[in-house]
Parts: sequence; C-alpha cells; structure tokens
Amino acid sequence: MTPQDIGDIFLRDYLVAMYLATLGVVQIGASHGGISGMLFLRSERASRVLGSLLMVGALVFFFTVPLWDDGPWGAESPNGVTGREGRTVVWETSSWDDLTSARNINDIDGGFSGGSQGIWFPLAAGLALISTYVISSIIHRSGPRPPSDITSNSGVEHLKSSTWLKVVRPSLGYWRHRWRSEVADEFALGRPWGGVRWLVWKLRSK
Amino acid sequence: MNAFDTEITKWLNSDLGGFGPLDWMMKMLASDYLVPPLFALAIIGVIFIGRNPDERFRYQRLAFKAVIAIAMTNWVLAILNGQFDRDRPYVALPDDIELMFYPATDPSFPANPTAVGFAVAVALFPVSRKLSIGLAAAALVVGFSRVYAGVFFPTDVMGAAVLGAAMPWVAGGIIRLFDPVLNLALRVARAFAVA
Repeated sequence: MTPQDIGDIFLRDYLVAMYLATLGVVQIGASHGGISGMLFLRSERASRVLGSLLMVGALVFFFTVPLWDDGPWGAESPNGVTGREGRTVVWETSSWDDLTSARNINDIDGGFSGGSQGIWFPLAAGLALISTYVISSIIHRSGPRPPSDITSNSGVEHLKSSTWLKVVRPSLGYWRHRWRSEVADEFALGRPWGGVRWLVWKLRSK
Repeated sequence: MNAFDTEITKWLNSDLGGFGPLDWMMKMLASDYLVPPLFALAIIGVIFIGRNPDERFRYQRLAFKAVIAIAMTNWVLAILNGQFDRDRPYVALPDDIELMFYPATDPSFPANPTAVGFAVAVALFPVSRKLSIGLAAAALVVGFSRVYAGVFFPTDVMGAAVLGAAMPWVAGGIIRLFDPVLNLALRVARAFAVA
C-alpha cells in the first residue's frame, strides 16, 4: 500500500463527511434565516435538529470508519506501512484505543495537507449546496409558485415562499432585463471603481 | 526557545500526558479533520443566516471577508515558516516530550490551525458574538491539544492567535478595493437564487 492508496481512502471518507456536514450546516443557517424553501423539514426547529445530527453524524462517520474499514491504522508491526502518527502499522481495522489517532496521518504519508482540504472542501460543499436546492425543491414541489413578475433581485429571499426550481427561471429572467443597470450601479461615479466606468465611456466615445 | 515554552510544554506533555482518557481526547482534538473543518462550515452557515436581504448581503460579504482572511493567513504563514525555522518540541526536547501526533515536517512557529481559526472568528465577529467566541475557543483548544501532543510550543499558539486576529483587517482592505466586483458577484449569485 502506498501513500496514494491512503490518500484515496482519505478522499472518499472526507468528501462524504464534508458533504453531509455541509448539508447539515445549510439546514441550520437557512432555518435561522427563515428560508423555508431550502429546508428538508417543515419546522424550523426540527430542521436545526436535523442539521445538527447531520453535522455530528458526518464527523462521527469520518472518525469511526477505521473501526470497520481496513487502512493504515492497525497495530504496530515492523513489516507494515507508514500510517497513523507516522508509525509502521498493519493495514487493518483500528482498535478502540487507537481510534482517535487513526486519522492523524501526515500529508507525505497520504493524509491531507491544508491545501488539499482547501481544494476538496469547496467541492464537497458545492455538491451539498446543489443537493440542498434540488432536494428541498422536490420536497416542497406542491408549494406555491413564485409571482410571475419578480420585481427584485433578492436571491434566496424568494425561497421563503417558493422553491429554487420554481424561482430560478423568473429570477434569471428579471436579471436578463436588469443586468446593465445593476452593473452600472456598482461602477457608478463616486463609488470605488467609478473611474473605470468613466474611462470605458471616454474610450468608447472616441 | 525560552523557559516559559519549555516548562509549560513539558508540564502538559509529560506531567498531564500519559493519562489514557485525556490522551485519547487530546489526539482527537488535535486532528486536522475535526476543528479546522468547523471553521469552514461556520462560513457556509453564515451565508444563509441573515433574516432579510440586506442583513444577508452584509453577512455574505463577511463570509467573503473570512475566506480572504484565511487565504491571507496561509500566505503569511508560508512566509513566516520560511523565516523562523523553529524546531518542534518533540525535536527540540527529545528526552522530555512524547510525540502523540504525526511527526510534522514544517517549522513549529506559528500554529497554523489556530491562526486560521482566529482569522475566521474575528472576521465573523459582526455576525454573532457568540459564534465568534466559540470559534476562537475552538482555535485555542486545537492549539492547546497540540501543545499537549508535543507538536507546538505555547508561544507558537499565542503568535498564531495574534496573526490570525490581524488578518481580517487586511482582508477588509482588500474587500474595499474590490468592492464593486464582490457586490457584482453576489448580485449574479442572487440572480441564480443561490445567495
């Protein structure tokens, strides 16, 4: 077994855990924000409980996988692989005593560096966000439709009374008509980049 | 290395260390995968926590600020790691310190997870004082557990806390510089009804 094999195991478990944890934290955040169209359950309090369970469950999953899945967290042996805490260990399941050290593996031995987490966490979190919008839309599919004429670019505020799948088209339609003025607002004279707008205008007028 | 660092590290690692349940818990708290992901999860939660569009917009900008603060912290950490080649406690005091973590190869100063944790905690302070204090406490706990495990000195953790706490100020300056671009990105995200 090589550090690459260890890295593959870490990647699988890390992605699953961070996906579930992000699902959970989004449920907690959306329930505090009153965005009922993003919740998996009707009650905000129940959604917070579900979110907390998902977060805790994700971390419990990640740290208990070594109990039932073979990996670089077995008993020490001179003929093993470099694994937990830099020790030479047998490729097997972890004991309860070694469980909390099982995931402490250096990045050069197949663990994750901070940089690797910086790449894989956003991927897992992005997938969890997309899943949240789709799953919550399916759960609340019988709910009310958004008004046909959306009059503001309010984003998830619309999900307080509808679902993402019902809102996204009218919201993009509103943006299609308004994007020029929204861009102009941000680059208006007097704002930090107002000079850029002035420069573009001058160049175009020549 | 000073007497303060040496004595505190030896006391935590040698005098307290060796008590099974405490070692077990500290190894868990020192993990790269328990506390550090909580900082990132807190940022995601903040994106949706606002009660109305204005408040949500403000919090989303603070979430951006936290992300930039993390990036700035990692950049400064990389520079400092190159400048201060400080040995880890288990290397500097091999006869006194029992390593309870993997043998990290980068320099001891500063304590990376603590710096990142403080950067997020301070950046999100305007969202919730309780959340911010909780994140700062978590950053200190992970630093403490790593002193216990023999991979950091106390001053590595203290220096990291100061460094991390200062980074949101730098991130705030960067956000002001790119204000319209950030706002425009949020407007586009709103058009897709995802922010």
